[in-house]
Formats: sequence, structure tokens, C-alpha cells
Amino acid sequence: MNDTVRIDFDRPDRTYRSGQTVRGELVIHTDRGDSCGDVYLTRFWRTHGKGNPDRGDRKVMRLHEGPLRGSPPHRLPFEFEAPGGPFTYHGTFLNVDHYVEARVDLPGLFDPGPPEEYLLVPGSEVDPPHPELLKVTGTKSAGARGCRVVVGAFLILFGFFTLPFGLVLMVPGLFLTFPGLWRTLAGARLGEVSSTPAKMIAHPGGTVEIRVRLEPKKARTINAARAVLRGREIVISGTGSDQRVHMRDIHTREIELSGPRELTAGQRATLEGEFHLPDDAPYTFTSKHNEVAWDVTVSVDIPSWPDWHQEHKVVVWAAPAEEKDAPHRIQEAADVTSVLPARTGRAARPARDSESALRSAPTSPGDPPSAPKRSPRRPPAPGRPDAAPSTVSTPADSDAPMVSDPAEATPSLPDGGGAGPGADGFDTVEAPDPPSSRRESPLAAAVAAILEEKSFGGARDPLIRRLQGSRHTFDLKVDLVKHTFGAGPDPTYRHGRTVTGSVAGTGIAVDVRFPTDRNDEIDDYRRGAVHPVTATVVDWEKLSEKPVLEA
Amino acid sequence: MTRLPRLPYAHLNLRANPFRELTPEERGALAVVDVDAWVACIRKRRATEAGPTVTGRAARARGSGPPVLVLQLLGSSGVGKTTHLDALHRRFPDAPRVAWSAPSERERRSRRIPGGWPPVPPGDLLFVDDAHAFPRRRWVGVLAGRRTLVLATQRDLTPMLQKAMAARPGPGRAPLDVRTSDLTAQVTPDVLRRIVARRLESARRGGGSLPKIDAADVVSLLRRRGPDLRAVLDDLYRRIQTHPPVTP
Repeated sequence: MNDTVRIDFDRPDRTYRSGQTVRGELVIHTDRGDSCGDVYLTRFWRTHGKGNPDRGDRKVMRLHEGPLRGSPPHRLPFEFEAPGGPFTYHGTFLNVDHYVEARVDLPGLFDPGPPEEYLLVPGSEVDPPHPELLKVTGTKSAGARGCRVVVGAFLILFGFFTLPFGLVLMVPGLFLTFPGLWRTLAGARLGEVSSTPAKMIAHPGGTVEIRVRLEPKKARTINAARAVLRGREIVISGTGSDQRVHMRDIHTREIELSGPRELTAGQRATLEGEFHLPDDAPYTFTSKHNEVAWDVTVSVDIPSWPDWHQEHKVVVWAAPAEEKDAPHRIQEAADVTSVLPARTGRAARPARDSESALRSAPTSPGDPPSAPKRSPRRPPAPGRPDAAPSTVSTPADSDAPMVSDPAEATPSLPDGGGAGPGADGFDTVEAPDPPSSRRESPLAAAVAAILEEKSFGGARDPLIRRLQGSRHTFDLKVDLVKHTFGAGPDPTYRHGRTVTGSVAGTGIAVDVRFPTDRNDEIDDYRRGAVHPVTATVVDWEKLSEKPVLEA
Repeated sequence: MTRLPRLPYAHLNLRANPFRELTPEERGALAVVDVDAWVACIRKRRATEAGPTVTGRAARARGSGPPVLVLQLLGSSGVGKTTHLDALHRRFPDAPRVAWSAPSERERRSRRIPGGWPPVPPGDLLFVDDAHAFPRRRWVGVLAGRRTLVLATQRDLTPMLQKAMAARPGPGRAPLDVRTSDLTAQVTPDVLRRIVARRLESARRGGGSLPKIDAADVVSLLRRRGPDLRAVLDDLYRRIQTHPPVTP
């Protein structure tokens, strides 16, 4: 009989609002249940379309440990809290979808099948836009502009005096000078001119207001003032020199803020306009190669003079529950039969709680999936008040540690910035230590005992020998991922990766070597992320006083 | 009013657009390529390198060891160089793969993460995508390890590699054994038909029919686009986006 795995959701339409509980079960058909190892469920979001695929917010849950007893099919229920974003989006060049994927440790070739999608729509809990996203504006500072103009002018002048060779300098000089000069010229005619707001959060079905203030020093005339709201999919495909950018307008609307108009010298004139966002306006989304971006470009047409332009980024975001009631409502499609529970929450969720984000459901087939619950926090180990030791592995624990994988959501903004709900950057916040790391840990206790001994005179040697060869399951907090060098390690690990980090929640430093075939996975690890690891102690680093383990 | 989303491409009995941009793993798995000869060639070289004799080591020290094997996957943009490279890399997953990374549009705008040259990892076999983008001074370092190189490149790098090898100090020099495969000639209507069929099948959602892409259409696309498979797949992507629902 072929081994198969099926993922069933409790809702036929697989549609969940953020904050609701996604429930389902893994149905495993295999006659080799006795030789089965652990069963894992991973949830994540992923983009697909014309751009290079990005994915993030990966969380892994162990549903079952050890052989599958009884006769097939084996049913393993699961449940987790639907994340606060990014929300499902299906466009032309870009699609954003959420998935769950099964992994069953069975010897030999075994294909658990493709990951299964579920649809995520805004609900009671919505991740707030990342501060980094709100910082970004399309306006360049006057200082930077001035600097460009000066450098550009210098290049042009120098190039002029060294013609014909100076032509090489004059061309980039023109490119540097012209945009800045253009804007300066336009501003010179209009005096003090600004458009607001420079950063803005808008909700689908809501409005985007734009205001332009002009205060010319002399009486001037303008032909018109306009504003254009534009939503675009911007995706990048390919790598290196084959990289290409694909753009597609999702929504474009132009409004006239003013027709021909006389401006009085020294008097402030304010031009205002308002855009109505469509009810189904897609939310702002940013990952490494894929983006849904909104902006407003304001332009003032000055007769016989360069026009004045300014661009503002707009962040289209899911409304908190109160605001969403009207006018932005979500109407279920006619063919969607399931009734979704009423929204109960009221506030935007302040931050992702990776501890509660994914929970395993009871593993006994007869048990109904339980309501979300937190694992109780245990007191720290005696003698180490600050060290909550990590842990022995907990098979199919009902509050099994869920581990977020910030690695996949961080590549684009190096300083922790991200942009988009659950998009790159959100998970750059250090993941809180999962509950399991606060439990008793033989590894942490043994290392602590070694460190308490004197480092000279061989006092540590018997303890180190006793530790070597022991196998531990713990949550590894990543500090650094590096290549494994040297001839010492087993060949399986020789070209692999070594993660320098600590046992989460304890501060006990460890080096963990991973086999070569896990390089891709380990390369995605990021500093501060916590990952479950089962590894054997193989060595003790005397210089840095820490154990070396092999996963 | 906003309508709830539905499962993507379910109306076409697909999970995603089959002609979407793939991950390197997917690209390697779905590649319609014949790399067996190359795999045998690399394995043979690795086996030779694995057990160097004392004489061999001495010869290397004198700079006259066995030649450095360089496999070039040559072709213009879009012919499938990276796909071939990824398919080969799947057969040697322990070997590192590097590529010059151009900064993304957003990276360019923010000027925070410049694209750049990847560090050269250790190992006896190295896969290099976008090898034509590497300047000569980088090759001097890459050739230092006398490793076997598999290069995806838009132009023949033999002269540059020879110059880079000549620029190395005496004991580090070795003859080059450059073998080139011109991928442009390998893009045929039959290959394209197999690519289309494999891509469609890989994106299948359930039993039943899939969108039909006429074989004659495929041939005419290839005629129109030349050997640029990427452009052909772009056309097919758009076709799937506007394809009417399939009947089960």
C-alpha cells in the first residue's frame, strides 16, 4: 500500500479570519506506522507568481512523536491561531497564500504531498504595520538634494574644462543635477510648498486625503494641481544580471486639486482633495522580491516653468474591528456556505505572539481540539534564578513548543525593518523563548555543573566525559551561523553549518553542527530566532567553555 | 463590499500558475534536462581528487597537477542556464552554489543592502551562476582551490580563466580543462512540450482535466521567441492568467 498524507481543514472553504483558530487533522495512511518517527506540521506564508518566491512566518509544530500505533488511517488533529497577516491576495503578478505542510519521518522515499493552502482574511486581530514601513516616504531631504546638485555641478564644470574627455564626467553630472535642480526651480516659483501627509495609513473602503500648501513670494499663476493615487504590484524575477522587475497597476485614480488659479504674493493657499479607496483594495505588502505598493503623486503645473512634483507612500492596511464595520464590510461570496463567527476583538494586535501562534491539538483521535491555552510558566531551576533551563523533548505534548522562524521574514531590511503584515521584517523582533525552554534541562544543568568546577586541574574532565555522547532536545537560540571547517567533524557535517547560540531561556552557550543536507534550512536561520534541536554532545570547547553538539 | 478570496487557480484545477517563477529546488526538480554525462564527468574527477598520491601532491606543489575541470553551461539570457545548473546541483547537494547578486529594486532605493560578490566557500566542487558577471580578479581567488567548477555563463570564459590562472603564483597554477555545452542548441519544440507538460502536472490540484496548451501553439511560440525559454514561459504565464475555467 502507498503511504499517503492528507490534510483536512474543519471548514470546507478553508477561510479563516485572523485571530480565529485554524483546525484540522492530518490523515496518514501507512502500513509502516511502527517504523514511523516524528510527525511535524509547518505553517507559513508564501508568494507565488512572476516574482521570485518569498516566504515567511514559518512555524513548526510536532504533532506526534514515535511510532504510529493502531491500524491506519492515523488521524492527528491540529489547531493554531490564524496569523495577523499578511492576508491572502491573488493578483496578476503576485499571489500571497498561507499554507500548512506535513512532514512524516518514515524511512525510505516518502512524499507527504504538496502543502495545502488556507485563506486568511482580516479579523479581530490584525498585525500593525511595521514602523519601518511608516518611516519610508518618497520625499528626499533638501540636504541630500542640495548635495547631489553641488556634486553634479562640480562634475559638469570639471568635465567642461577637460573636454572632450570630460564628457564622461558631464553625463553623470547632468543626471545628478537635473532632478534636484528641477525641483528647486519649481519650488522657487511656488515659494514654500508642501503636500501632506507624508506618511499615511488608509483602509480599504476608506479615504486618502491630500493637502497642498503654497505660499509664493510673488503673485503667481498655476495651470492646475493634480494628485494621482496608484496601487501597483512590483515583483522581481530572476537573479544577478538576469534580474527583471515586473510592474502592474492595480488601481489608478487622478483627481484635480485645483484648476487655473492666481496665487497672491505672501498668502498661503491650500488645495485639498480626497481619494476613495476601493473596498477590495489590496493591502500593502512587502517582501524581498514582491510588493504591493500604494502611492500618491502630487503635481503642480506652473505655466512656462518646470512642474512641481511630490510623491507620498500610502500604507493600505486592514482596519481595526470598529472601523471595519462601516463602510468597509466584508461580504461572503455567494458560494461560501460556512458561517464565520462574529468578530469579537477590538484592537489591533500589538505584536506577534509566537508562543501562542501555533499549538498542537490533542493527539488522541477521539479528543476534540481544545481551546487555545498557554503552557504554564514554571519557576526557574533552584540555584539558578536567572536560568530557566531548557528541556527534554516532549512528545506530542498538547502545548508543544511552537517555534517561529524569523529567518525567512528578514532578508530585505537589515536593521530589523520589515514591511507588510508578516512580511519581511516583522519577525526580526527576537522570538520570545518558548515555554519548553523554561523547563528542566539536563543539558543546561550539566553544562552549568561543569562551569561551576574549576577550569584547571582536570576537575571538569569527568563531567565533560559524562556529558559526551548524551543526546538532548532543546530550543536553540541562534546567534551566528557559520560554515563548519576542519577535518575533525564527521564527513556528514564537514561541509555543513555550525550554529553558535544558546539554549533558549538559559544563556548556556552551545555550538551545534548540522549535516550538509540541511545547509539550505540552516542558512535561513537568523540571529535571535529559536529552533527546536535534537543533538548529541560530541566535544567540549575549552577556550569558549561550551559544548559542541551534532544534530 | 469585498468578496472573500478563493483557493488560487482552483478554477483551473491548479494550485498555482505552472509558469510562475520557481524556487531553485523546484527548478531543479522540474528541469527537463539531460545532465547525466556531466554528472559522470564530475564524479570521475572527484574520485580522482579524493585520493591523491604522494607523487600527485608533489606534482601539485610544483604547479603541474591534474588539470582543473571547468564545465561551462553557455547560452544567452533565458535559455535555461540556471535551470541546468540547479539540476546538476541537485545531484551534488553538498557542493556550494554561489551567484552574483544584483541589488533588488528596493535595495537600490534604500541603498542599504548592495548586491555584491559572494564569498567563495571551501570545497572541491563549486557551482557558479551568473559567472560572466565575475571580474577576473575574483576568478584568481576562485581558482585558488583547484576545485572543479560548474559555471552558468552568457559568454565563453575560457580566455578569462586562463588569464586568471596565469596570474596566480607559480605553485598555484594548473592547466585548465574547460568543457562547454551550448544550451541554445538544446531548446527544441520537443523539450518545450515536455517542459509545459511537466509544469502543468506539477501544479495539478486534483484529478480531472487541466488547461490545454496546444502543441502547435508551443511551436509557434518558440518560433516567435527564439531560444528564449523565459520569454516563452512569460507568454504561457499570461495565458494561464486569462484561461477560462476548466470543466472537470
